[in-house]
Amino acid sequence: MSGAAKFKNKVKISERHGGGEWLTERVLLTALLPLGVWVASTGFTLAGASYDAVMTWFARPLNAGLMAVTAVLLFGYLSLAWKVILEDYVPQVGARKALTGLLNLVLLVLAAASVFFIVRLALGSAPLPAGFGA
Amino acid sequence: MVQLSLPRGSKPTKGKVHKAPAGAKNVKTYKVYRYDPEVDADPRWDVYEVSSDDHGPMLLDALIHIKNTIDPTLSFRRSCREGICGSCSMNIDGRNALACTKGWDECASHNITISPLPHQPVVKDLVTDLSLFYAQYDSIQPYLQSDEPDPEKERLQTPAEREKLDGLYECILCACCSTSCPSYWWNQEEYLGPAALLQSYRWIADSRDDATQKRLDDLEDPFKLYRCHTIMNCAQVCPKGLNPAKAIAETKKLMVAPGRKKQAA
Repeated sequence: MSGAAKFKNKVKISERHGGGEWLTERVLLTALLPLGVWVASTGFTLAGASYDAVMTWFARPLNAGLMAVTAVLLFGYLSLAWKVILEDYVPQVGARKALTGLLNLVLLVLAAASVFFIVRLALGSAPLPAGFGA
Repeated sequence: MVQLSLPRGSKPTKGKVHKAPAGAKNVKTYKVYRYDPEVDADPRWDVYEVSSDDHGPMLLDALIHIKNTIDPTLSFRRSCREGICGSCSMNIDGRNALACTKGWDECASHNITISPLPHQPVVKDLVTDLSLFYAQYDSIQPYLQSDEPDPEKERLQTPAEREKLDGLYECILCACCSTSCPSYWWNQEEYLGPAALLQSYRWIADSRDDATQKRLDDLEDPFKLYRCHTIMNCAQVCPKGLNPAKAIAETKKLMVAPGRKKQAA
């Protein structure tokens, strides 16, 4: 993220980074394309399936593993995408940093929760621990 | 920075209407943005009814006719009147173009709206302050930087090496591309814009230039380069038919190419 930008003759001096983030975005998106198709097709396949059938599906390590990878990559990509949007539309550096931090925290929690629930399903447990929810 | 509505004092009001003489034929109506920040509280739209029989085929001809015969206070830039100097860039019917290469008969209706290049400070009427745009061009060091000693004659290139400069060297710095780019509208203080980035790639792609890595280092920045989101307005409006977005994409590819040697800041 751009901190206090330095300028020379009205033009910003390079921060000497940005290429890595750009490449990471592309790599994540490239990986998410087939994974997204796989998740969507899985959704169609499991639609209307019984609870046991879904649990059996999640019990396969490949399915659970791929689902967890998809969740982590998706939230990682969302983090980079939101960063770009905030850089575009929030000119105040302090507000931009605060919002980016907050969003990253939310996305991290969501990614961790996703992996947690996928692992529980893979181990044959109910999604929520005993005492939570229905 | 993002502006979702025009700030106070910049919303154009209705201005004067200059009627065509009775009996005039082939009359077109030119709605022209008028504003002198030193005198006017608000900008205004002046309307000029002009017979197309009285001037040449281009919009610049119409503007010169208006200035010479109807309203000498109208200000606009022009020089070569043949698409080489880039002076008469302006927004015509909502799209940036050169007034000298745009025919009035290319406009869809008989009512043609002409305003200055978007999101630039207005000096007067259709003349904008492009000093930041030129500073950005200056910052990319638009000249050959070679480690080789000066040759007796010219520095040679193969035809293939020379071909890489096609579609790049033709840029006339009219600013049509940069001022049509939403990313440039929001972040022009930090984003270099399509024109400067196309010019930068023109030197990066030049086989005679040895400063490629330094040029890439100077561009590698989340704002200077990576505000380009491939919106493609730049390619759509370029009066020379160039594609700055492609040049920017090539620069981004070089930025993460395996052979890239990043230098310390």
